[in-house]
Amino acid sequence: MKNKKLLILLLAGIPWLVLIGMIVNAYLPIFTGRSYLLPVEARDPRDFFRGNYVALSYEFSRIELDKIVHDLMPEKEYRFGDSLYLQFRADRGGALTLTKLSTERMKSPAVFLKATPQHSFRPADKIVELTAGLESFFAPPADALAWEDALRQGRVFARVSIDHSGNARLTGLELREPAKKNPNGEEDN
Amino acid sequence: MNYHKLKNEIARWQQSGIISADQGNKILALYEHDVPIYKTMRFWLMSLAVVLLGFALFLVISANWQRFHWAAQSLIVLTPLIVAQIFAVRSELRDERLNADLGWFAASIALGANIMLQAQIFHISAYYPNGVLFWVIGMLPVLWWRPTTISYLLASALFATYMAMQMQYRQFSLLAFLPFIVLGRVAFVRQNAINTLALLINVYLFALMLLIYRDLRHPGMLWELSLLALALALMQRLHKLRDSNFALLLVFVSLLLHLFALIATFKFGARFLLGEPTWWTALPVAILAGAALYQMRSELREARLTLITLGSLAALFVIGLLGRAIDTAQNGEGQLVTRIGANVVYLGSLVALIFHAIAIRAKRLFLTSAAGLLLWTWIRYLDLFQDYLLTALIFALSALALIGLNKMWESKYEK
Repeated sequence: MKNKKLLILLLAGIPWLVLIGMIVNAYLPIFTGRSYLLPVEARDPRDFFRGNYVALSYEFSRIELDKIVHDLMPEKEYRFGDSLYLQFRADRGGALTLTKLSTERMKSPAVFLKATPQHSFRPADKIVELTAGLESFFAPPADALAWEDALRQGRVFARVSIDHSGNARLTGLELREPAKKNPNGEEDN
Repeated sequence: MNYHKLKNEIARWQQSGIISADQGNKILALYEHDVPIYKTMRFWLMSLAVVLLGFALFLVISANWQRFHWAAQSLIVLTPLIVAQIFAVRSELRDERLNADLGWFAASIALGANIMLQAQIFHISAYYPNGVLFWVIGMLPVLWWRPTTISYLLASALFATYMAMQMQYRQFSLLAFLPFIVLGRVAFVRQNAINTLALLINVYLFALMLLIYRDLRHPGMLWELSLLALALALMQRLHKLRDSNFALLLVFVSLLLHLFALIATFKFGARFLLGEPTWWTALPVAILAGAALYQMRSELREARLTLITLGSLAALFVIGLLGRAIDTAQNGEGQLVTRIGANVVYLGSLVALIFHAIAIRAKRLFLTSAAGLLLWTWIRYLDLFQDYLLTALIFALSALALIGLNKMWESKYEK
């Protein structure tokens, strides 16, 4: 009888442990991190388990290596799963602008985000496509469509929480006016 | 057997003094673990209902209720998990085994729904193999201690989905060994056609996932043939498989083999059979499978069918290696050797199957083999080897071989 109780405890308990572990892991960057804004672009696919989502791409989703400071080794192959770090400059409103791509974690107080290549690449290819796990925003179908309209006008920012290790979680989308450019072609903050 | 009817009858025999109470209890004990067919049917019907409810739950989640607080959303989807677990625990305590199994299965589906809801709330990337892996890992205690075919199918399908997602980005996680080991163990303990087939598919995908992780995008058809041989060895290892299930799986493996031989008939397939420079990965698997089958040779069930399948596999494997050697020496010639060789193997194994079917009077096997022969003729007619004459020659030689074999058959059995 004692064994049976233990067995029932295992049968019923392990799924809860898995579920709680998953939630804690998902919530950690929000709990321990700070909140920032990232400008985004979009698409609208469907996930079979979770429904409609807006597929987002960011400034860092496709980077031309000639146009950014980086310390990648030219002949090394980087693949999905390798950690790369993106450094940002934050303006007064908390909006981030990409400044550097690095293979090493930056030291605080730099704002940096952990990302990984979407496909294998060598820096000699000049282009890198990165993903940071922030590319899906789940929403009801009607809302998803509305977000896409706004995205096409370039007015959407992603509200993200980034922790001290560069792990991030997308917490929402926000409507903002896109940054205006001054006559020198630089963005006004 | 109707257990309740037996119980009533035994009570009547006891009252009439035909048997003692002790004898009656002993007779009942013999049958109390037999699950009546109507209960099994009910279990499958209820399982189907649970699957449909599961689909409904996932659709409700997909509708996305962002307007509710995340805690409210979580509580709503936690309810089916809690209800299913309470039902399962209550049934366990009452020793109602089928109900308990049903409850654990429903709880497994509800667990997946909860994981996916949290992944939706936290906007975790659409590419989320870990969500599927966590789902399978959460199911492992149920699979280990309360395995049912329906739970096994669900876990296998999820694990296969996870592996396909991992292969997409050439990833591998040591955690994947957990479901792999448990699925293997369950298939060994509960040997039936469905579990075995699911296990074979998972073994194949697991091996492929490891290869792709090691940067071998496709190791060539020799690799597939080696795994087919390994599947044959694994099946032979399962002695508790019912004979009808075993024969069914054996025919399935044979059909796959013929499919490979048929693919090798085409130019692109022949190139595939030659394999990438990574053909050596196939050798250890083939050797392992060969050694296992040799060690089990005295225990082979359907020995002749197994030998026909294994012989054909080995022949195709050797032809692949030969084709590769020739291809290296003379550019492109290896493909032709492979195509002709694979055809000879295909034709030879079909002829062997036809005669075997006649010998054991297996009408279905005979008709399937004859259909295979017709298919061979049709494909060869449409897709020539190299030119009309060579193909015609092969047709003629094949016809002669058939006539010769038939003569041999007649002389052996009609004298």
